Amino acid sequence: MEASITQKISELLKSQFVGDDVYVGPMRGASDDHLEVQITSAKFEGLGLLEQHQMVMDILKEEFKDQLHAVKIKTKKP
Amino acid sequence: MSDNPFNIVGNKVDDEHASLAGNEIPTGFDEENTAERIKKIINAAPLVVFMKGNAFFPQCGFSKNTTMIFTHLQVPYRTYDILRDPELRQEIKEFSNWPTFPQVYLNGKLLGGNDIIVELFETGELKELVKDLANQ
Repeated sequence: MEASITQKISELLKSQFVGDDVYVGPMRGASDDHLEVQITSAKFEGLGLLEQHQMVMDILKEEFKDQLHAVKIKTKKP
Repeated sequence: MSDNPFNIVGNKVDDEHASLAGNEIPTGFDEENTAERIKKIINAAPLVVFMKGNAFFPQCGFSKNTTMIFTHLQVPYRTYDILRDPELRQEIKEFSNWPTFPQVYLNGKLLGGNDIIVELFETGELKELVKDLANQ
């Protein structure tokens, strides 16, 4: 089940960041409902850090109501 | 990016900094609706942290880390315990378009969650942003 959360989130993000570098994995030292997300995308160009994170959080919003507890987000511009 | 999002500046609120550690905003319900309560709280201080628990008894590693950073920077801030206010806990997610906690508000505007605070701390930007508060 834990693996499927990671996979689900990964697929969800990849569907919104098509062709971008998307990494989703478990957060070190935390339980399985904590994930680490790293995305490199041109979509972040011109956006502040808050807006970049909000873009990612918005995609994951429904998941937080269900299985997901926390994500550590790192956004990068190519 | 730091490997440990839970412990950027250490764990202990020492005596020297204890007086700076988030002064908790009391959970008040009165007659006001939740949206008004949110606005009132984010304007209760220049720096407000919506968190799980409070600075002395944080109930989540992320919330704890965020308050420790502000305490470390010796900047005054106030906290609000969303665990004691389930209605606000739900509504502020929509208000801020941010689904997790902590949520940090600077001068009435969302600054971000723990990852953003850590990143801004590590680049030195956070210190600049809260500089005026620290000198007050």
